Amino acid sequence: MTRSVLLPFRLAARELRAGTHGFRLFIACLVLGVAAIAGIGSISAAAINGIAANAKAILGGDMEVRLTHRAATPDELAAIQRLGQISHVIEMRAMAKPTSDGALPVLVELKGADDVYPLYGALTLTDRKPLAELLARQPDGTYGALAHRVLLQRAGLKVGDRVGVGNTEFLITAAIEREPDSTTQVFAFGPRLLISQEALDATGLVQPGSLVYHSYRIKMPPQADRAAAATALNAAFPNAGWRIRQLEDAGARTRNFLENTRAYLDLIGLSALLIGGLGIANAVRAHLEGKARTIAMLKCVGATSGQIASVNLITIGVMAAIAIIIALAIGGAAPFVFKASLAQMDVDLATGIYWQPLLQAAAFGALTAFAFSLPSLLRARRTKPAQLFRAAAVELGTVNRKDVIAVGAAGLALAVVVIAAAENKLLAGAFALAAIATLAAFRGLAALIQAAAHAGQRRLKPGRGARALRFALATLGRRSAPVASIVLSIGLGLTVMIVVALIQHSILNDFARSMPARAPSFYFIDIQPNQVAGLQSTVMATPGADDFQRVPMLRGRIVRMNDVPVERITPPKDHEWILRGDRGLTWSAAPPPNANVVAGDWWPADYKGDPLISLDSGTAEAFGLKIGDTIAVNLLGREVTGTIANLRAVDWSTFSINFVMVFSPGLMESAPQTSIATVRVPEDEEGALMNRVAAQYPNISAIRVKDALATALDLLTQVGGAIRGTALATLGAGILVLAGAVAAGREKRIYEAVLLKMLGGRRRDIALGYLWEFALLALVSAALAIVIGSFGAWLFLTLNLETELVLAPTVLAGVLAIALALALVLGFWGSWRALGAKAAPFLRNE
Amino acid sequence: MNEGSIECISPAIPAIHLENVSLTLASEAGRVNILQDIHLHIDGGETVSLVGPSGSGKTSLLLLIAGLEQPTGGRIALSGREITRMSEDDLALLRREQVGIVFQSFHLIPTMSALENVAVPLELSGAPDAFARAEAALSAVGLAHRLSHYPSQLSGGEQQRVALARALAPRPKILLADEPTGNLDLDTGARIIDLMFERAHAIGATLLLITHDPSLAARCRRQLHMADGHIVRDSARVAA
Repeated sequence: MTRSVLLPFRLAARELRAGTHGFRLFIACLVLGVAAIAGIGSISAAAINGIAANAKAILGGDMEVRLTHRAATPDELAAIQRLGQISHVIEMRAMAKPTSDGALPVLVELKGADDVYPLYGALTLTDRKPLAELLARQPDGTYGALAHRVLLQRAGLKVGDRVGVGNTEFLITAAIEREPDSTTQVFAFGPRLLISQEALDATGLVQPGSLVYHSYRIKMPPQADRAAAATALNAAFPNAGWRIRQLEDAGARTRNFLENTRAYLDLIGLSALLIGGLGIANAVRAHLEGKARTIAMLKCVGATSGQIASVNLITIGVMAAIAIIIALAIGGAAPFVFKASLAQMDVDLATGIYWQPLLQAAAFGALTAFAFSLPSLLRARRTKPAQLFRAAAVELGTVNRKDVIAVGAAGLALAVVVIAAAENKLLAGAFALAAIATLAAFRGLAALIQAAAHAGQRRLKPGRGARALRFALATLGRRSAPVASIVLSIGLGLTVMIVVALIQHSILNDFARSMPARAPSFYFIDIQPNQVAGLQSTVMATPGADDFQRVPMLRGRIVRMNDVPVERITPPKDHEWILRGDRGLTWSAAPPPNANVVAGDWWPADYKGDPLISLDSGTAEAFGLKIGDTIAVNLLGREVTGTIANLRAVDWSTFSINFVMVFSPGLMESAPQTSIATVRVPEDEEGALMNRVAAQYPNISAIRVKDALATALDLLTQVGGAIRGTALATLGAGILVLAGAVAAGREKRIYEAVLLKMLGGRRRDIALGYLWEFALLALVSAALAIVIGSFGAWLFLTLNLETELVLAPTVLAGVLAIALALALVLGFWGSWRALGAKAAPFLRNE
Repeated sequence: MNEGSIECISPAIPAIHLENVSLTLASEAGRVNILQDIHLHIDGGETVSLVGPSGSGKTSLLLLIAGLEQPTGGRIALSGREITRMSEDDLALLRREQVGIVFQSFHLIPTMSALENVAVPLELSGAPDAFARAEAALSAVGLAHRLSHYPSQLSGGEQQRVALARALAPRPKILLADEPTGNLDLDTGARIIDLMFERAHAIGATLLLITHDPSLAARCRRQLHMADGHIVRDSARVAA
């Protein structure tokens, strides 16, 4: 029994003595795809582990109690202090105005730190003096301030310069290289300016209703039960309206961002693996065709089909294992390789070997290798041994219906594993469907090309000019021509590149052109009630100022939906943000000017009853809320429950003032509040307006939409770089497959060229024939890639981002050029020897 | 049983028995009758040559007997076991136990040494002493000094001797040979034939041999002549 079980292994071992020769393409294709997936997974895991490892520093304590608009009351503070050592940090947005002439004010994230900040981790500064000394009041009456290096860069400042914030002037005493409690600066509206709380008081910016965040970070004894402490705090102050964050919540936004980015990168990595699958299929077919005589011989001496299948499966399995091990070594090393460059982007990688993403990549690789090898494996077991007696060449067997079902099942298993492993199952499912459809489309195109070439070369009238084209069409029309391999390898790689390039181009176009065209120029926040009229006249005095909008605003946290506490609600992933922090709320007697009420009715203008809510229809759908349902919100420590009266369809991409919830007037009007306003001004007036507002209203922050878009664009460019890099792997896989397909046909080409030369063909005729052949294949494949890639990009942009597709002629022309260059370079590389081959040696061997 | 002794074959059960066998193959031009109305009875230990012009159906007949082709009609039995309705895998098992084949083009497995090539059928049948028996078989054909050589390192005659050792090592009841000297020079071919007859006799195997060489055909006790898919002359019947 053991002997017969081990026999296939012994026979496979004899096969493998020849080494990896003949399997190089197989290994290269598998390594590329698996290494890409393993690398992406490892870096992502290292980044998320980096966040977990630094959770205390990122959160600023073992636990954080965060309040919006107000500081903790003495009772609340006493209760928090009983839990351990606390550090109080106050954050808000503000305008920093460099004192040098002509410099524009800059929006900054102002942080007022206390004496014990930071409780965990350390500030990395350009100056090693104690923090208290750097933030202290200077002899000239200014206060010390620490500016993030990004702020210095953006405002053209340096250490020793002065900036005005509110009513106070600050001396920049050092630059911040790294802040322990900030995972990355890329999400912030403005760069950090760190000052003391005494200095913050002196600015006069903290006024009733100002958008100020008070964070109480707590350093707790090691044995403390954090969850119980949070429960006890909430129980003691049920209406505090605070948000208690635990270590698990540290860096949640960065973590989500990383996970989302990884989802897309994974799919591109999978595309590389699938394209590589074609190379795997070609390599396995070539290997088994080379072994067909041995397989037939083994059958003659009594090997069963099962034993043949086992030997081949083991041989290919060993090669796959070698490739996967190489790929995992490369992918596993990625966090070590990219640690330094990601640190530049404030992403701390916890370097190490992460087995989960490596095992996942290995599973994808093994399944891909199996699924793409299976057709040839099945054909090999059906090899007819009788051919040894009759045919000069022994061919593998044919595929029957059972084989087709088996190959389909293997493909399905691969799709199921991909979907099961994906966080975003819908996205992965759509990817699987798109991959199958694209594969089928290019396979169909290959068949069409062959049929058309076959018919075309018959109809082509003989003539000098047509000779090369006829030669090319005859080659393409032949049953054994590798048209499918070439079309699939060029087409699939380019399709992925086009999808990525067009999505990126469309988003960038939207950010750079469309959004600014429809968005306001400025957001003004923290406008005190008594400043509204003055600000409006200042702003509207700007030449060309237009469309001034203002609404009152409060911030509050949703605490219950239909009496269910939000802690017990699991929101859809893309709507988590609604429950995570506090939301801006407004109230209005009349529908906002841009309101599109899609269900229910707006309340009467003189409505004075219980609070009613106008809710964003997307949010309603995500949480299953309908008209008549209730939402309770904590506003400044008081719980307000409103009934949903109507639903509005909100177009968030306009950048105009929009709120998830608009309340009916009444209750909220009396609360301490500020306003938010927008205005559109000509671009060349923006600087002057910023200066005027900063001078007259130092407490009002002006967010220039152009700057906010630039920040977002920076982030997109960085992510885009990673995505483009991964997409290159798909093109690399396509090149490997194309090179493999061309190389596989090289001997046949040489033989054909020799025969043509013997019959009087000139080298030029043969070369022109190759030119036609590869150019035709490249252009037709690229054309379909453009159609499918554009459709894919449109689908993604429309469904996911509600952004319009912008067809970029440069991108599409680039794609055509790449396709032509690849096909011609690789085609001629594979055929060059054929052109120069001497006829005699080949004919003599015959 | 000792090497060189003659196995007792029951005369009641023929080694090869074909009854009304026909073979029709599909081709682009339509269906082609390859073999028709073949009746054949070969006893154990007989040596039989199969001669006839190209396309007469010799190889097809050999393939049917080896279980490498399924007849369109009739029945075939090897050592009393009907093989006509056997599955492909059952036929493979039957070949392991009963049939050895020698080809014109040797068909050795290039990635395996001479010893491994000969051991393969023994390993497939689960013989615990596969390599010892393979070594003995190679010694018997005079290749004890070439055990670890690969086919590419052997001459044509040596390759055919390895192929012969491979066919005979499992002690098959039937040895089928398809023009075994077709790719060899005259001297080498003659030595191979001597060896083949000697080894087949030694293990008591029935030998069925395709050849175009009349002198080689004459060395067999019985000659079958084929033409157009029929056995047109059987020396056994003529003698009878």
